[in-house]
Amino acid sequence: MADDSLPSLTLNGFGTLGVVHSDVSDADFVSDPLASSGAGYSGDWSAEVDSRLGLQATLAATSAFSATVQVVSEKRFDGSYSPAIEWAYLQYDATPNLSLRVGRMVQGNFLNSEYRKVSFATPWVRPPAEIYRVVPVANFDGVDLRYRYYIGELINDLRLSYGGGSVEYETGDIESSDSWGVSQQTRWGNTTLFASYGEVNVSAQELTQFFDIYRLFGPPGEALADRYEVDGKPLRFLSVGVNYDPGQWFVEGEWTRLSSSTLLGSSESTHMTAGYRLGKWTPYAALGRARVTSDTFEPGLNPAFYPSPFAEGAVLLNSTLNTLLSSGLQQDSRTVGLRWDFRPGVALTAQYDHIDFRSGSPGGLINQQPSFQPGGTMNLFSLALDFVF
Amino acid sequence: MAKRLSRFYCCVLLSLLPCTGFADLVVVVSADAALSRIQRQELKDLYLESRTPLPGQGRITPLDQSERSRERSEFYQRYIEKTPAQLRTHWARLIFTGRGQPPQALANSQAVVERLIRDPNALGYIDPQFLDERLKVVTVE
Repeated sequence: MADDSLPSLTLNGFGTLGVVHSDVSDADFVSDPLASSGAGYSGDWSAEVDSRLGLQATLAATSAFSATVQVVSEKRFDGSYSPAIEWAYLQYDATPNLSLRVGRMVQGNFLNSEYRKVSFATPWVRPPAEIYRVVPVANFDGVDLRYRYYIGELINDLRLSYGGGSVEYETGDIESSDSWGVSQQTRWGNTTLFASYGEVNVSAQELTQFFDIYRLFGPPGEALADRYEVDGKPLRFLSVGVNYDPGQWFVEGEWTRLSSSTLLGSSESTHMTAGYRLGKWTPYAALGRARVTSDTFEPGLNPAFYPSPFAEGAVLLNSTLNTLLSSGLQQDSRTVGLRWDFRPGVALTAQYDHIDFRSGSPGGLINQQPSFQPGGTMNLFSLALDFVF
Repeated sequence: MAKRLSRFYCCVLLSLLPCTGFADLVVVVSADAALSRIQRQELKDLYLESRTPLPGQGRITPLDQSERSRERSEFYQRYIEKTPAQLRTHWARLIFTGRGQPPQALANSQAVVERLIRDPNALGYIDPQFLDERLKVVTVE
């Protein structure tokens, strides 16, 4: 009886039409760190940062086999809106509580990772940068296993994933390989607890070339390259999250730690959001904090040991290395916003962010102009229309 | 003043009525179904967590009614304790991560009745005036 509707095809979609204004006019605020332009320098108000459209099709062939594809169109580094595959997998449900998937998927590093692009499904205009920008490659091509189990009133979802992937940006790409992760989500009434651990191996051709040049500088250069090289070393992510939502109000908090013995260093971030529901209106407030816990300065090669032009080369390399080391997100943010669910499946959200960059931190801004000074503050005003269908 | 106050209390009392008027909605299955009682938490899990089996009962297919129906808003308010906005966020999270689809929504109580008598594994909620001998009321504990 239950199978008379199979095979079935389900179509769903989501999207955001958003504009954001940044008061820092000599650099661009972006949500995706690999974007090529954003709000501030490239435009007073930018519709490119948050706007996107996603479409999803799920074909349930039998009660055990299904296939899902989700494509997302948003502004890419090359200026186009050509759609990218966010999810594309075959799923086999061995039992109602155990499923195996093969294909392209999204890592479950944080509480809201898997639906971070579905702005309608989150309280904010965009996921908090302090947490959600930590992972360089979110998608992977591989396998995952999901297991649901019950302990008394606790509903538990365990997920194991393994794979690799790549993301392109303006002047190269970042590849990830041998990435694995385990996440556990437990729901108990109105409380959700989340914990995740994962390791990712990333490599970027530009960085490999950069360290190859260091290696030309003899043993001191080789030692520096070995110390900071990204290729072949794991980035380790640990995160915990909690959400309490009794209906009238909600509160959510997340903490994450990135550890690596690479150029990307180690960092710790926290984020907390609280909101109150007044019918169709949901005012909310949030606090975020990100700190680099590893050294952000490296004396590097001693130019005095090298003849010209190697001495000048050493100075240039050291300067680039230190720019990269200090580019990690270090900031405190305060956010207030108001969401209005004015029609079924459509919400309008206005959000204000005040971000205080720690001294020396460029706060993830891109297209920095000569007049740009790291370590300042930034105010963001955002308006977003989110929808699902 | 007293008159105005009593009118005020009348309004308050009237507004409370739908919350206590349990006769306006019944949870039902086919008369052939084994299920006769369900715990509130199990009902929530069934409607919010697709694919959740009830212990010892096998698989049950929950049925919804149209989003505009009185029955639906009453059911979610009374038993599931979620607002329409919360539900849409909830389902957006599940749909776009491939974790499930919301229960099938039928046009009205009549359509739910017709489906239930054909499908002993389904469960729905209806206006009690559509009750007949082919159906069984499920006690929500």
